[in-house]
Amino acid sequence: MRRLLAVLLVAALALPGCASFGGPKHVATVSIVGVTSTLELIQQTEMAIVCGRAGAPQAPLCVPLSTHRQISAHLRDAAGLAIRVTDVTSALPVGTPTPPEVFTLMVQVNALIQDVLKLLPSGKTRAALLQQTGLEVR
Amino acid sequence: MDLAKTIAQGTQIATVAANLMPTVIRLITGSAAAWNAFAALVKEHGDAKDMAALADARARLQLVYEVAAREAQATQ
Repeated sequence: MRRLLAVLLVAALALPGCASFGGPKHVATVSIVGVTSTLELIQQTEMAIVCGRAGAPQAPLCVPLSTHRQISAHLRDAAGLAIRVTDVTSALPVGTPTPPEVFTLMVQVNALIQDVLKLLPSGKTRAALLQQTGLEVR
Repeated sequence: MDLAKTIAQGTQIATVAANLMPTVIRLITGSAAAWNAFAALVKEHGDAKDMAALADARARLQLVYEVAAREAQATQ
């Protein structure tokens, strides 16, 4: 099933001029807009639970400062890669296949998001975040 | 092949593809937020809309980047 979906994904992103979805550029645009919302939400959620900050829960439900620095570095890197996706996608002429670089960057962003999720303390804040974004810790 | 049959087949393919897209988008990003964005954007597409959405996403990502870069150096 996963392989089938991967093939469909490639087809959806690669088929020039797909009328139903506006073509590969449109699909890539929608994807990066979704990633942007996800990164924003993760950042806002995580910053609200840093140990010692106003409103943050007590340990072990808060994020220690050292972990917060690690998470922030991952989010910085993910945002940097996602910015590259927007740049590549913006330069893409309508109807042309999505460059492989976009797939590679998206996979890297997703891996960084997974790293962040693993660093968050398991508790109701993380559970709510996962529910809101539809993400899973793999 | 008559026109009605061609249209019916085209509609069927488009419907199947539309039903699969949320799963496909989730596969790319692992995110339901992506599907919500997709659902909003799919209604009004066109290169100008996509370029505006990309510019907006880039600005928001830049903000995430700057905040994250600052917080990666946080001392408290």
